[in-house]
Amino acid sequence: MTSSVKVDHLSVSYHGEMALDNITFEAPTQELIGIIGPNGAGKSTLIKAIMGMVPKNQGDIKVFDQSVSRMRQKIAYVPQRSMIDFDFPVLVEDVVVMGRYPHLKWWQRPSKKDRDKALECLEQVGMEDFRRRQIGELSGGQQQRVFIARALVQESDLLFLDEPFAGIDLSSEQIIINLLRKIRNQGKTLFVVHHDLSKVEEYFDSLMLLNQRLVGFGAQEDVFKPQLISEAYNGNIATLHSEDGDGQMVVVK
Amino acid sequence: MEGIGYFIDAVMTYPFLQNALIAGVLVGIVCGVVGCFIILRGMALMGEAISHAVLPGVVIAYMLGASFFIGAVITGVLTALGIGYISQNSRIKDDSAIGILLTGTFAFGIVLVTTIGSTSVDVWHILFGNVLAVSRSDLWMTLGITIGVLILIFVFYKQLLLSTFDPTMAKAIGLPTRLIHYMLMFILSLVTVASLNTVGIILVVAMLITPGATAYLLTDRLPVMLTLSAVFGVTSAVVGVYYSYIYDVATGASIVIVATLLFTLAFLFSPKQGVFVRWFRRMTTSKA
Repeated sequence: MTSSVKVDHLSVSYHGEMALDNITFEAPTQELIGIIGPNGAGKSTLIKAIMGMVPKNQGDIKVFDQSVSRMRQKIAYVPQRSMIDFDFPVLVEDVVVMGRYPHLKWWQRPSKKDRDKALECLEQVGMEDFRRRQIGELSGGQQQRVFIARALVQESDLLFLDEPFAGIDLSSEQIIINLLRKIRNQGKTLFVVHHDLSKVEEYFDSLMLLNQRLVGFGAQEDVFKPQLISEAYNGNIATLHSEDGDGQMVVVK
Repeated sequence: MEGIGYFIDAVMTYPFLQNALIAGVLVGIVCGVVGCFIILRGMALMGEAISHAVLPGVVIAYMLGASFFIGAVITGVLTALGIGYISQNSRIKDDSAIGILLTGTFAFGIVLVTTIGSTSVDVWHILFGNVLAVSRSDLWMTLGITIGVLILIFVFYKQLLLSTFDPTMAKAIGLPTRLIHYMLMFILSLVTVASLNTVGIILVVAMLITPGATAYLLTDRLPVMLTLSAVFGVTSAVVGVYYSYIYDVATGASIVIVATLLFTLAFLFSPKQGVFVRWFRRMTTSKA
């Protein structure tokens, strides 16, 4: 297996407006891949397109060298927290069990085995003590860990996370990034939509710079460069040089 | 409470009261269960629209001598499709599209009723129900709809839960979320027909929303919410029929008043969510 996701000349438009323009890339496996770009760059649209949730104008998408419709079981998705109604009458363990649904036939109910697997994954993210809590009673970081547990219990090889660090305190962010690294080290590939440039170098193996078109994609140290970032952010950045002339700092306006 | 003894005597004696109570209980259960999903999907206004859109279908079915049931489902589902079509193909938002079609279809129904003359079809009964005139065949239809809808919800519980809680993941794993939406619209039309005699078109949305909302304030688990909601629906129906018989007031309205009172109690005194309880807790903690 050489590539996790292979996208060939993908274009997507929403209500007649171009959201993604002629995207082509081939992503490696077993990496933490960051998707970076300004608001409206089409980051969420790209992962939704890869998962086959938005109609594409043109282009071809392969996941592990197969069409997406045959690989749905292998793809897990962690939603943006703002998309979830946290008043919903559902307990933490019920949320995690939902990750077993792709493995069940349409008439089947989650079995004892499915519930045990859910509990194991809750232990992996360190949330087993909260299993009987209503999902809204947790902090933002804890909620995020529960959704990661749900992705784990799905036993998929490819994970998409939409802004997992949005609205989360720093210590929770540390816990979550360590978790994502652990998942990568188990041999999985993770795509993470991210809007904050400050931790990029520390977090990701590969980086994708997106602004409707693909500005750059490759190893993090090759892509995280002032000129490419400036291009992705339409020039709305300032580059600062450190005094010894060695280091550079990029500030996005 | 000699009223209760008098009421029980009356129930024993009069078959029409027995029918009324059975119909009320069935409607309480089915509306209570369906209503939970309507609330959690934020579709209360949609419920209102579908129930009103059933009117022209019922009248046309009456004119053609066909079953109410078929007419109601056709206009109900057509309206749901129309609302989706308008909001997806124009800048009109969902709630406005609902407002337009709710009133439009309802007005069309009223025009039809007045055309055929009010002696043949009693508008009052369709709009506000006439639970004391429930016939045997009405009862069978209500029973059939209740069982059918409960089976559908039981079989597709997993799909309903996921598509309601996290529609994006539901789509990602390949659930037909749009089909599930229209299945619920179809169920709403069926439930409205089942409730015609008991509470009528105007008040059916109360039977859908109020018991479910009451239950929502009392639990953190969907299965418990579904059960409680059905219990509140049944309680409202039985107590409502009782007061309606004792004081000789409109039955549908009486049932809805009881449901609203139950909601008010939960709103004030729910252990976790109750306004009064939270106020009381604040007072005691600030003193301590």
